[in-house]
This record gives sequence, structure tokens and C-alpha cells, in this order.
Amino acid sequence: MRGEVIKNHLELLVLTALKTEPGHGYSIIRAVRDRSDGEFELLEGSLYPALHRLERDRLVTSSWSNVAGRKRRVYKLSRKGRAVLEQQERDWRRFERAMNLVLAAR
Amino acid sequence: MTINDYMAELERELRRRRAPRARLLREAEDHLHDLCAELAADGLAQKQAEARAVAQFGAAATVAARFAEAAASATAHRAVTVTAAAFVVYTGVFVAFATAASPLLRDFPQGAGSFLALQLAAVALGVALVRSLRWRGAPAAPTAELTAIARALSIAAIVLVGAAFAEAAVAVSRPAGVIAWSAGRWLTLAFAAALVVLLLSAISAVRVVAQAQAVHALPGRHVHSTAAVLLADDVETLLARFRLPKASGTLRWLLVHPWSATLAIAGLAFVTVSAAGVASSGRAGLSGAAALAAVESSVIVCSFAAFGRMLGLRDTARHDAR
Repeated sequence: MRGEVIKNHLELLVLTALKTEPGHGYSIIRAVRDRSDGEFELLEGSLYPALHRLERDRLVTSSWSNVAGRKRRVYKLSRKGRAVLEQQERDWRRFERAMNLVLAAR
Repeated sequence: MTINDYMAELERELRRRRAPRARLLREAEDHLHDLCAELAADGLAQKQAEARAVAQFGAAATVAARFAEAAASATAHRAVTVTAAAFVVYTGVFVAFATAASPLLRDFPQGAGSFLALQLAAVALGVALVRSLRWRGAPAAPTAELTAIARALSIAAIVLVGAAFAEAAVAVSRPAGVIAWSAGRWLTLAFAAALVVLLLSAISAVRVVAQAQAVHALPGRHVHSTAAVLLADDVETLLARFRLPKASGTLRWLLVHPWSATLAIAGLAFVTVSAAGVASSGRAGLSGAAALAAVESSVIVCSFAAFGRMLGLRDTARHDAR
């Protein structure tokens, strides 16, 4: 169940992880894990295809750079990606509010 | 399993699926070394840390399959764009020749072949475009859709390239001689440019077919063809996305009753072509216009009979796979 939920919101999670600073695949997984207090563990096998697709859709850009002495592919949120992220955040808040109202109904 | 063993297996699996490899392999290797270092820092021995990192990354076959599906979808979306561009360019050149002032130019292309090819390509491209638009933005198009896009693009590319080269062959071998360079310089250059774009579209279609076949051939990936029903679903989804839900009922009926739709279109084409013939040549031209209209209608029905299944416009069995 949780795996399905993460899969459906993978894009939102990845874009959010890149919101404050650029990162490589491994750092994105760590960021999502840390920010979710260990609840969300992204699967590597899903993450990289998703990152490549986000880049094709111009939501992120990427380049090779040296991180801690190693050459890494670092991803950065593009302007378009930031706009999409803001829209997805708004959608999620609306969904969350509606769901809470439904769950609170007696 | 060590990181090196895993990387070798991942490369094999990606190669088997005809997926782009270099960048994913590099990123995967970096990722595994990072993960391994973190696990070793937590106290695991190097060998155990590598085995744990590899297990956490996921089975090489699964990772490769997911990546291959996404890569094949991206290739398909790109190929649809290239083929659509080729179609527009060739149609433009065809219209420019057909309406040129010089009779010698108007005579080339010969016309009928390209005219019919453009119609078939338009239908094939339309089918591919609907499916591609529906699945743009998704991680990957379903295998059945990918196969249908690959087939439709192949048909569009083959008929366009075939028509263009046939026209060129006729043009250089006809008894009236070739067009003087000074008389048709720009049109000849435009035709050459159209040939280049058409060849690019054919190459992109071949790539889609190869990647779609590799994904389709994966164990457990075989889906019984329900392409026509999937197409109706795609149209419905796209219409809802463009806030046109009212049109979807009629379109869905036409798509799930393809023979009725084809006969209706053929009838409409007969009436339209006949009326256009009479409008331009008067009642005297009625028999000629009717003959032309009959050829056009027959071609529509025959093309549907020959290519309808390949284009995913009709299925052998009708059931919803979702």
C-alpha cells in the first residue's frame, strides 16, 4: 500500500527533495527518507528512470560534477519544474484538506 | 553479490532490452558505492555491505525493465514528433508541386500515389499521436500501447518514404524529361529536404519498433491485443483532459464499431468527392467525379481491411484489459 502511494507521488517527492538545493540520486533518497522521518524509502530502480524522465520533460536539468571527490550526475530543479512543483503542492494540500474533512465526518 | 558482478548483470539486462546504458550504469555504480560506504560506516564488513547495497538497489532485471520501458516510451514520443514533422513537410511539398504554375512541375509528383499515401499516413499518425499524447508525462506507456504506437509509426513512415521515392523515380525516368533546375530550384530543394526528414522519421520508427519489441518480449509482459478498446479509452481520457467529455460518447461508439465508422467515412468521402467534381466541372463531369469518388471510397475500405488491425483500430477480441 505504502509502496503504491510513493510510486504515485514519486514526481512530487523528487521535485520537493530538489527544491532547496541540487542533488544526486543517492542524496535525493536520503533527503526523502530524512524528511519523512524514515517513512518513505524511494526505490533506486524507480528513482533513476523517474529522474531521466523529469529531465526529458525539462522539469530538472543535470550535469556531471565533483561531489566529495567523486564525479556525480547532479540534478537541479528548473524554472518549469519549480512551477510544476508549486502546482502539485497546491493540488496535494487541497486533496489533503478534502480527505481530512471526509475522515472527520461522523 | 559484489558491486562489480551486479554491474555486469545490469549491463547485460539493459543490453537485452535495447535500453540506453552508459548514463544509468554510471549513476548506478556511484549510487552503490555511496550506499556501500554508508553501510560500511555503520559497521558492516565490505563484502556484506556490498551484498546489502546490491540487494537494496533491486534485482537487475527489474531495474533494467523499468528503465527500458521508460526509455522506449520516450523514444516513441520523440518518433511521433519526428514523423508528424515529416508528414507536414511532405504534405507542404506535395501541395506546392500540385499548385505550381508550371504544368511540368504540376505533373510532379504524379499525384495519386502520394495522395493515397498521405491519407493512410494521416490516419496512422493520428492513431499514434492520440496514444502518445495520452501517455506523455506518465512514467511509461503500457506495453500494448507502445506496440500499437510502433506499428502505426511504421506504417506512416513506410508509406511516406515509399511514396516519396516512387515519385522521385517517376520524375527522373519519365519521357517528358526532368524539370529544369532553373524552373523548379526551390521546389526541388524542398523535395530533397522532405526526403531527408522522411528518412529520419523512418529511422526513428525503426528504433521504436526495436525497443517496443524488446520490452514486449520480456517474460510476463505479453498482453493480449485490445488495442482498439485502449484507443477508445485514450480518446476518452484526452477529451476529458481538454474538457470535451460530450464528444467522447459518439467517438467511443465509432472506435468500438470500426467497420460501421469506416463505411460511414467511405460514404461521406464518395458524396464529398462527387460533389466537388460536379462543382468544378458541372453536370458533364458527374461520371468522372463519381468514378474518382468510387476509387477513393474503395481505397478507404480496402486500407481499413488491410491495415486496421495493424493500426490497432480493430481487434480480434474485445475486452477491457484494465
